[in-house]
Amino acid sequence: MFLSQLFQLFISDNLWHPALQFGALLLLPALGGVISERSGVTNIAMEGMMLTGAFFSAIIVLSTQSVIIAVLAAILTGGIMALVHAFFSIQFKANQIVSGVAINIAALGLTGFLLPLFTNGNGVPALPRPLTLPALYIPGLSQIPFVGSVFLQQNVIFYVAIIILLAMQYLLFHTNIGLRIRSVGEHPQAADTAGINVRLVRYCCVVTSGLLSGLAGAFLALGVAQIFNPDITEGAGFIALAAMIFGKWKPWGTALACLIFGLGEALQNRLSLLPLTGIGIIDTPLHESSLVAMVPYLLTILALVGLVGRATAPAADGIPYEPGGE
Amino acid sequence: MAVPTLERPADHQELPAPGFGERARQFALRVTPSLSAILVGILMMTLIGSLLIMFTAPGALGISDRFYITSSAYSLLLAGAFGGPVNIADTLDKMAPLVLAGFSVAIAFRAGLFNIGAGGQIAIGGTLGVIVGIKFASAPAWVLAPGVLLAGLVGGAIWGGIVGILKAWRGAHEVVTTIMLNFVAYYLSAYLIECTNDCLPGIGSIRVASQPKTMQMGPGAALPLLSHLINQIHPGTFADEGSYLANVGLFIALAGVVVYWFIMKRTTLGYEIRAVGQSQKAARYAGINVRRNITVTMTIAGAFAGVAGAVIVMGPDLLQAINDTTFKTDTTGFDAISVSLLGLNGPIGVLLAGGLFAALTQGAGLMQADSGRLASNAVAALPSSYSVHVELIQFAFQALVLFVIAGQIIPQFRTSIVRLLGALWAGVRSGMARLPPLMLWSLALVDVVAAGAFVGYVVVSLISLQSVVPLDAPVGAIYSVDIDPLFTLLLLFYVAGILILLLTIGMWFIGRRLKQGSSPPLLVEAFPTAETLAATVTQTPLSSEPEAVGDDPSGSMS
Amino acid sequence: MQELTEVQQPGVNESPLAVEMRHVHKAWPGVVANADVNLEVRQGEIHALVGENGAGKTTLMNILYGLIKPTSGEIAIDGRPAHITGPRDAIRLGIGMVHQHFMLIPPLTVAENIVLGYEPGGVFSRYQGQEARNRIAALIKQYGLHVDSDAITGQLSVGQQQRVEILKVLYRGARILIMDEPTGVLTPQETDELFVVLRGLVAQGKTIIFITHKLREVLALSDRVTVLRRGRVVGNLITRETSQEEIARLMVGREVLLRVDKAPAKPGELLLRVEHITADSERGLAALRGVSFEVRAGEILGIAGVEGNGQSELVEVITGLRRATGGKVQLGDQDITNLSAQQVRRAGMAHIPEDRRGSGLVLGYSIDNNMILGRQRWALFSIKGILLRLKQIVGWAVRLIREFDIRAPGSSTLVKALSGGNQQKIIVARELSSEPKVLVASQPTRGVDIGAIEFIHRRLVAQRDAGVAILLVSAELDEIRSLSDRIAVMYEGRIVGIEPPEVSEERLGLLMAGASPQQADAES
Repeated sequence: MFLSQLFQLFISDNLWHPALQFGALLLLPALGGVISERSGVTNIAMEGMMLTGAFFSAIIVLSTQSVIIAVLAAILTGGIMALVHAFFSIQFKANQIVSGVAINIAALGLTGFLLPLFTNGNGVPALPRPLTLPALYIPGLSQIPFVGSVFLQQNVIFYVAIIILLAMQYLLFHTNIGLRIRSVGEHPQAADTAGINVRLVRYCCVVTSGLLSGLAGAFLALGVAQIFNPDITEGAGFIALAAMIFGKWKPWGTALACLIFGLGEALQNRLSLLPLTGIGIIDTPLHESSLVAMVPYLLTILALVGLVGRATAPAADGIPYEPGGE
Repeated sequence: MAVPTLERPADHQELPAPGFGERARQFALRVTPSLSAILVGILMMTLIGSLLIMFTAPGALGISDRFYITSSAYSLLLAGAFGGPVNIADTLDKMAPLVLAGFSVAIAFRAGLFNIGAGGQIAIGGTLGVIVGIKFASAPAWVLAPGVLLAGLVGGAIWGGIVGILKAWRGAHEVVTTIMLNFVAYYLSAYLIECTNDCLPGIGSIRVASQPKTMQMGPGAALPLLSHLINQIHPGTFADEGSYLANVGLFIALAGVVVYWFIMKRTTLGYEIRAVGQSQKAARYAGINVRRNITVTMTIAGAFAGVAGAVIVMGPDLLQAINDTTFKTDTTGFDAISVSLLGLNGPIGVLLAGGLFAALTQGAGLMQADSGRLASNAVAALPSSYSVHVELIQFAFQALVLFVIAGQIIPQFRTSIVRLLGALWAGVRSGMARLPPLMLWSLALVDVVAAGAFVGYVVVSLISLQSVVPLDAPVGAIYSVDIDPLFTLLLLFYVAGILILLLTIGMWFIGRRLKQGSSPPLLVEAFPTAETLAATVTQTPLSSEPEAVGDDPSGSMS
Repeated sequence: MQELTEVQQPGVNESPLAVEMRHVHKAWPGVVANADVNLEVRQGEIHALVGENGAGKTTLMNILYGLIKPTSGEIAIDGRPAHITGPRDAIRLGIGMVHQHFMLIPPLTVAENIVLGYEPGGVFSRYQGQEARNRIAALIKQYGLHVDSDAITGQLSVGQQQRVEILKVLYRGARILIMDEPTGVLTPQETDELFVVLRGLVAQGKTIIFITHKLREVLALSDRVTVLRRGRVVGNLITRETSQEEIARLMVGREVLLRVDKAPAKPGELLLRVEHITADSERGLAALRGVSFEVRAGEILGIAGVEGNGQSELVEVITGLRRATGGKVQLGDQDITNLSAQQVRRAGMAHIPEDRRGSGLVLGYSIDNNMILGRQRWALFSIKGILLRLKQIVGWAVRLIREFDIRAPGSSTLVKALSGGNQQKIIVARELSSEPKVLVASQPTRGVDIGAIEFIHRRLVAQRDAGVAILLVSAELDEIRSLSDRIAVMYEGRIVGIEPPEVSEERLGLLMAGASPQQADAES
């Protein structure tokens, strides 16, 4: 019974639509991670930036009644947190992982502290339709069975993410800016002596990763979940990290990884009675839904472990740069 | 290059002979970084936290009102932590698992690994402990309690070991694997708890019928309260012994201190762990099996955390039963990271940092509960539902500790001072690159004075709280608080803090001016402990000098 | 001993000054790198900047190239005062620098590396690969430096990479080229080829400053020489009017003998035997293709060769740090092939690694802890290999500090605070005092000051005389020739010849470049 239900699920768009949606949700911070680490700065704070982005987007959409302003605010907060991370990593040459952990904890604490204050202790209510990010229905094409409903009825941010994916691939590998970014990430001293401003490049890339993570947070709160609660990210930022590693720091590879992990999330979602978002499709008893909840995380570990050969990050990734020559 | 012969080997960097001065200096150098770290952490936390409270207090309030709210919040923080014997007992209760988890993170740091998975290891250890505690509920205390602890140790060790194996043999980055395993652990624990009779082969169910909560463990699994033990020796000391939550877990934590110290200082394993953490290349050269070392380190780290988990479930807070979200909401695992960093990964440091953090968490609880009520007594415009949530402490303290440690702000600040003074000194006695012991002692003295001042502040605050309560008084007595002296002290604290901050920034700028490239090794030698931490944490070569011509170590001169 | 020797005949080479550095002073707190340095380089000349490690040569050139700001002093380029705040300023003034450790990015192509920072189209355009290729082709044609624009830089040979570096500099329009120790990784023949290239550049109007500590090259290539010692200019010479001895004397400040005193070797029993060893490098390519030799008690076998021909891998295989894919290593009568580093050490081998700061020491440890590195589980230092004997460890370290004259305040001083010479002495002390049967010493005096070099050499000879078999690997030919009793030359993973120590440099150079012994016979 259960197995045949499972099989039905796998060939229905009920699974693949959220798979792509979650995939896009993961893709944004993952691409942020790619550009940050390509310039040589490890950024594990995407989780925290997503969380604050989600939080501020929800709060601000409620107070300004404008989705656009809320999304912009989320992007901005992501950028600011990334700026802090960049500041400590680049100016103070702090250990980038500890700095990232600090941001994540700061995000948790900050949102936990501000949430009751801004909502008078009540939490954020389920957001009404006009205050959410809409899905786009492409006329005509979206009626095609399966393909149409999976690919062409997605949220507007999904398409934004695809555009960003294409843009990043082009930027990194076909432009002079991308050449400089990659050189800074591989051998910052060589880039420095070639006259490139290593610091500026790194700042820009880290802040960009923050902007993308903030946008992802807005997508999460206003598009996917349409609510905010303190657990909303549930490790998505770290799964995005794993996707970046799995994709060997290349945009297309990362996108593929995000799709796979998105599938895992969708599976967990559709199988459980305690959904992150959406409705359970298959009835599962309480304890098994806990089992099912593990799926995305186990999948991520398997992906990391099962990599053929070790994935190599950009050579100078995570190493603070000491200018001043010899 | 031609190989010359010379009459005697010359070495132009002459260092003074050893002696008492040198040994004293080494001691000062070891102690002062820890003090500075703790001081600066507290300072930043107080400043930023209080600024946050001031700005986010709702309603149209004036500055002095906001200040009042802030100082009442902080007075509750202090009262909650140290205000009376009950509070101190609670602090000690919270301290035990934090210290143990702190060692879990610390030992991993020593090997150059980030154990962000302490939370998951606690969960597995605690859950396994509960299972043992329920299944053997009828066993006597001297069998059951060690049994539960052992189960915790084993559970945590396995969970940590998995991370070690994945890292050592597959190169899987431990930051991601530990966090993933955390989630797996929470859900695994939830699964085991939620299971009804037919889903756990061989073990049966451990849950209560109507809720996702376990049955109680056997009475032998409860950690005896210290108040109870003291009452056995001196009957009547504590009137209501159940309300003093300090328990035997504290002794277990102290045992952990000894174990950690012993491993790191006295065994070849500790030597090898630290070597791997500082330089994997040198470790390999030394014949150390790096893979095995990483696995063993993570296993021990997991074991520490697992024992912490067992202590949590055996403690008085949970009444020896857990539910399916207990570990998910428990923050000990994350707190342990700050504890370990603030304690500079050392045995005493982690103990003190754990104590400090426990005090703050304990105090924050009272702050959340009563800050609204207390402040709205005096400030009419404040809604009585207002409260300062504990997350403020989590945010303010943790993030700032981490930033301060990670940014090596303290060592950089101190290095700046050393450079500045060295430059002045070198100007006076040209050619000398060294700072005489006198100046280093002065710096140490400044640290000691600042630490003393802070302790004094706390003591005076407590006295002015008029909350020195007789041991057998009932619990509610700490609320008769006189706020005004605290107000003044807080103000002084602000002023001092801002001055020190400005000084820090100024020193930092001056230091950067003087820097202009890598510094000669001798000046950087001034604070080896902090640098050693930096090497452990940053995993970069200690010396910032790139390999210059022919690996010349003076780097700058070639 | 610090007189300024100025030998300049008026009328010789009256071209205008390309580079003038006046009263340049660079000091950090307590340390003076350059003191009142004056440098004059004429247009179209090849000017050598000479000095020992630590003399201040690279610092001076880094100041010229804008990587470091001087404490005081002025620079004039082509007669006009110049204010150089960074590499971009220097590049604009026509100065280019080829660093000793190449500033190339391995995964990028040659073309990408050359145009980096000055890409056709500017920062905000797409990458114009064809345009880049065209420009580079024009340069190649003009200067005769052949490289493949589309090759991946990391896969090129060292000589080719150097050519890319030079092209990089020429692409940016350099008229004044600074070359920092360019020949450290080249064979004598490749060095000659480089010289041809440099002379060609000069013929096209370039000016070249090159930093070196190799006197032979100074005489072969340069027009004039400036000698630095301890941050000061101690000599300004015209090359054809001076000699190696005079330059050496100025560099060091005293009479310099060119050999180590040692008695003839008395080889005893066979202690180290290496047979047909094959092994792979990091990248999976074959690094050793069948190496065989023997070393007896009481002799020093020197391995000569340009770095990168398998010497590092050979040392790693012998000392148990790398797997051999074939062949056998025997220490005494024990087969130690592919045993772990620990086991090899216990069998009686000591190893002075070429990477002092990376492998040989744990910089954050004290002297005590470094003295037992590698032997921490031996009975002398631990109980059953588990508990450390702290008292014994400290006592051991104190004894060795005294015996090897290591300058440090105490045995608990952190090793990172010591000078390179003292650090190396710690390693030497540790390895020699373990009473080994075989000692493998890899680049034992690299980057070490003279006093320590001499000390270490004396100790090595003393060990030899005490019956230890020593395998010496060094990139410094002089060191090999003065210490070895026999010299083996490695080329592309094989031993191509074993020569007596009196062998000529020429012959050695030929063997190092891959000539077979017969060819070398024919040539010399």
